Amino acid sequence: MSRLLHQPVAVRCDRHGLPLSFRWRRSSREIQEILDSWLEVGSWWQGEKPKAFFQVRTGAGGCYTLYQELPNGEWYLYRIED
Amino acid sequence: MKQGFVHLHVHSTFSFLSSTATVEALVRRAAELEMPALALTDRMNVSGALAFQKQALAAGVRPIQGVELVVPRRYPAFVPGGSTAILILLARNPRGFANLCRLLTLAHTRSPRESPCLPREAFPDRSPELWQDLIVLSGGREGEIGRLILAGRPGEAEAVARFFRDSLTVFYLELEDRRLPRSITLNRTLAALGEKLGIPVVATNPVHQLRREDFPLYDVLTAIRTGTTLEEVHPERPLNGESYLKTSEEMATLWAAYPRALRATLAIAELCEPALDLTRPRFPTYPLPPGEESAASFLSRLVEAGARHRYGTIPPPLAARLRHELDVITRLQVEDYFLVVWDLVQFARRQGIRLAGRGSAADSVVAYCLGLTEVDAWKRRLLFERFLSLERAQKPDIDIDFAAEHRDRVAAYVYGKYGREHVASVCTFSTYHARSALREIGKVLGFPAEEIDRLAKKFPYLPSDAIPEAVTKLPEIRDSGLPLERYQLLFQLAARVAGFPRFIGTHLGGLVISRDPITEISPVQVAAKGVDIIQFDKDAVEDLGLIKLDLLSLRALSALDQAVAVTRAVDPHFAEESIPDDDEATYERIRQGETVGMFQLESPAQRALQARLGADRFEDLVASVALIRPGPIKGDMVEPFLARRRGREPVTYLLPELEPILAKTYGVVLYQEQVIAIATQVAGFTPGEADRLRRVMTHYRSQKEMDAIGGEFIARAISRGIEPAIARTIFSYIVGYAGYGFCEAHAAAFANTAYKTAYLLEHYPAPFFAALLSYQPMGFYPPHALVVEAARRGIRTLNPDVNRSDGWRFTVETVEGDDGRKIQAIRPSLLQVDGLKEAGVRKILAAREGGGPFGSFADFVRRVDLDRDVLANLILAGAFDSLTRNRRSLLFQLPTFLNDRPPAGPPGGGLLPGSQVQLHLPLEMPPEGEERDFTPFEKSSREFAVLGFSPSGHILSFFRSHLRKQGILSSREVAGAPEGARVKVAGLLIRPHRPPTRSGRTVVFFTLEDEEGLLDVTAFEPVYQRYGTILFGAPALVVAGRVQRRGLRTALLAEAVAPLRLSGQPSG
Repeated sequence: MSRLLHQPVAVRCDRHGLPLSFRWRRSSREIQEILDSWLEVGSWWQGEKPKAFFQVRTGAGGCYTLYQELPNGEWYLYRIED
Repeated sequence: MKQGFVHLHVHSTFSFLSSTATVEALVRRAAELEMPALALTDRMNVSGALAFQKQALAAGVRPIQGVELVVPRRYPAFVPGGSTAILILLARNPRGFANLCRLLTLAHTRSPRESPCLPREAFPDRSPELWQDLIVLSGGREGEIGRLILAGRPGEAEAVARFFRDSLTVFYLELEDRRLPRSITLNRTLAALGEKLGIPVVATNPVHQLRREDFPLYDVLTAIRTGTTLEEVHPERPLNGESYLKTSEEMATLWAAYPRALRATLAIAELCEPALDLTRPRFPTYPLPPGEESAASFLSRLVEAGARHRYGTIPPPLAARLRHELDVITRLQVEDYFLVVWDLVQFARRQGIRLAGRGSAADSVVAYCLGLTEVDAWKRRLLFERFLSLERAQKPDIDIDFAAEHRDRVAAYVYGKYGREHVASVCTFSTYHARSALREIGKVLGFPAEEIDRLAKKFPYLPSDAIPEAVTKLPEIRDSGLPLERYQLLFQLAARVAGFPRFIGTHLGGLVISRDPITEISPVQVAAKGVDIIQFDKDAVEDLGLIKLDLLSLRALSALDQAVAVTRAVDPHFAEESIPDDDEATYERIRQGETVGMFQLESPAQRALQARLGADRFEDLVASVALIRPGPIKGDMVEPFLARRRGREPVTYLLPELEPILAKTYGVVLYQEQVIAIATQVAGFTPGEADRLRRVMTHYRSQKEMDAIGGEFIARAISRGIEPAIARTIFSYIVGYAGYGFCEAHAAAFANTAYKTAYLLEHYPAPFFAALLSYQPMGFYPPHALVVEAARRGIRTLNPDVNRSDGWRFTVETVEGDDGRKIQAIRPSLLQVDGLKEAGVRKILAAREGGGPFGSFADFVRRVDLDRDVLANLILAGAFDSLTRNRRSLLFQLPTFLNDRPPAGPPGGGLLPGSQVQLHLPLEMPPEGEERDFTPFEKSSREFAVLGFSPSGHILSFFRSHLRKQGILSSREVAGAPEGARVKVAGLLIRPHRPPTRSGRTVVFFTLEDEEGLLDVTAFEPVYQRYGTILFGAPALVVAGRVQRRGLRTALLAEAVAPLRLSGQPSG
């Protein structure tokens, strides 16, 4: 099961722009592993910005999907997998 | 150190709606990025291979020829598209390329045309010989191994990998990362699989666009390909713009964890050499008759016999000319080509198929003696080198027109003689133009079909990159009232697809014959027309070592055939061979500009020319054909020619040597052959060198090249004793004209046909117009204009008749005229009736031949099973008038007749009559007892709708009295008005067009048609800018303007234009 959220989150990145940790529900979650990442351009004809998605596993074992609006835009928590 | 990388999975626009990158752009970018090599792997075709190899070699990039091959999956998935996958095949050398062509041919010819896929029996385990010299990549995400891994079926993925490893010589697992979901997992798994099975890995970045920012266009093309709008979802829509030609540095970063996969790209490139072999002649040897020693000696013998037939005796200069031509032919090793063409021409003649050679082949006396052309190149002193020369060493190109309906019989003969495995048609690539781009992209952007249709129809035939300029400059678009601001994105995208190939089709005439099986040279596929085509177009075949045979179908020859046959029927003394060369009445007709219907001489520009030229000999017709072309018009050659031809300007020559060359064109350089002759005479060029000069000027590419050849011309002329100033003047003279000149031989070939049509039109107009109308569409004018023109010549057009009409052709009958005298009339064919297709015509003919003439409408309906709409059209066309006069009453009774019809025949005969009756009943039933027929105007307008013309009278004739009250004159009245008079005239609008002009300003030419004839009208730029929307949008116009008289012809110079609105009660 997974839940779709689309909620803004604060993300700390490394020098390549890859996520290292993010804050969700007032606690910081360290990213253990980037399981997958992909890029979606979206509805370009409507001016939608492209998004970089990261499916990550945190130290506590949770599986989350984050995305960042490009270039260098806001981060969002997209999905939590139970 | 710079990390090397070679792209091995690359799509160009030849992948048809699967890439935005042209071959040229890909090569240029690869060279910019200093890539040592580049592969081209279009989907299921190698159509870009030749351009790719030539351009890549020129740019210093090693070309690797390949293809993306669709194959059946060993472990299909039960989802759409789950039964196929792809492999990337790269040819190591020409043998590999030949195998690649064989595999593609099998895929195209053994599966449905729209979804080609390699048959299982061609897999490497069953047909290993087909996979020699090929390097195979697994196809990344779209390959079966990748798909099975993504589907969580690793065991099956491993089995497929083992299969290819064990059955192929060189097989790689293809890693690719276009930032798509699960790429990381997929690549890790593939790398591990490679490690386990000992299969090397290679990195690619499947290229579908040149740069990242091309993504929107790629997305749009994909939506067109998948038949979706942008808002709709489809699994093939790309997720992002990462499928571009990445730099080596980008690829090195992306694949830092897999350095071996990067190095493998270089290793593969090292294994591949340019795989298209462009050095081998591929044309077949002609099968010589027993006893003949060689093609050259056989050809020589045929030419000598032909020369004796044509000339009787062969004087030494003619013999020398023939020897020279044969020598060039032999040294270029094209004797077999001449024999092949001679042989098929012999076949056509034996079959009684009318033909005419055209093009520069008519510069050859050998071609004339072989009967390939009817232009006497010896008598006309035409230069062979315009056709063939050792210096140019190009393959000959003999174009032959055949009567349209018989052309395929000639092609079938060629297939039969050389075998299907050695013959195929050349392909063509249908490319995007403004209208098609707007329609297809507009649909993808979600615009309603009707809205896009309205917009697209406003655009003339333009390349799609001319759209932005057209939107601001063409009044019919700019002032159309359409919400153009809504279409900005559409215009931008449409402009970018200019010239992109949209689909592959069949060239109308081009056939290639090969010595080796043709599938070793090109893949063969079956076109929509059902014929075998190669994947290369006409421009590519010569480089591939093939020679194209151009067997064209020309409706004008079919019409000529029919006209001659009908003429012979009405005048048994007529013989085509006896048509005199210098018939005064024929030339008089031409001088009047009354040339509507004459081959090549009928356009408004030609009619205007003829009325001023004063043609009285065949040479005038040859010049006419050459003069009315975009080049000579743009080059302003028409006026100087006319002035000299009519004696208003003296005919002078800069040098006496020029007189024999230019005398036939009154000192004006009109023909390409004359340029060659001048360079030969004045500068001492060899004919081949002179032809190079002509080509440099014709295909003007750079000033540098022009200056170089100009310098050479002048220097060599001076060395031959010509004054420097005169040499320079002569060169400027030919520079000014050469680019616009026309091939005299071609003009003469066309003039031959033109004169015959002119003679028949003058002396046998009824058979001639009947023939013209039988073969529409053809020529410049629509059928209704030809009917008006025939009427002007006193020939009535009748209604079709179910008992009298021929099924397929218009025929000539003698009827009683209004004054009681016998006149000739034209009876339309049954096929002319809208909706009555060939099958319907056959039914009528069969019933008529089997059971005699139809006695009544009820009899017809009982004996011929046609659907209701077709029967209604026959009624409206007047095809039952001889059985019952009241068309309206018959139409209303039609449902009753259909209900009374006996049941249809056995299954397969179409819908049951009962169900047909349930279809449309659009007409209001008349009050009971009313017997009123349609009025003449109603008949006329309905005839126009179903026949394309109105035997019952021209539509304007019913409104003439109303028009006269508005001061609107008829075309005949305008012809009688004084020059300069301001008049108003109305008519149906025929072919508004904007030919190129010397000034670059727009001039619109069109013709108005009323019941009394045709009137040509000219609208200059200001009038066009003001009334362009009407000129290119209304079916009929009222034009106010000034009467112009040039020579014997009346025309109108438009000052104001309005759409014609027919108001008031029609008369009759």
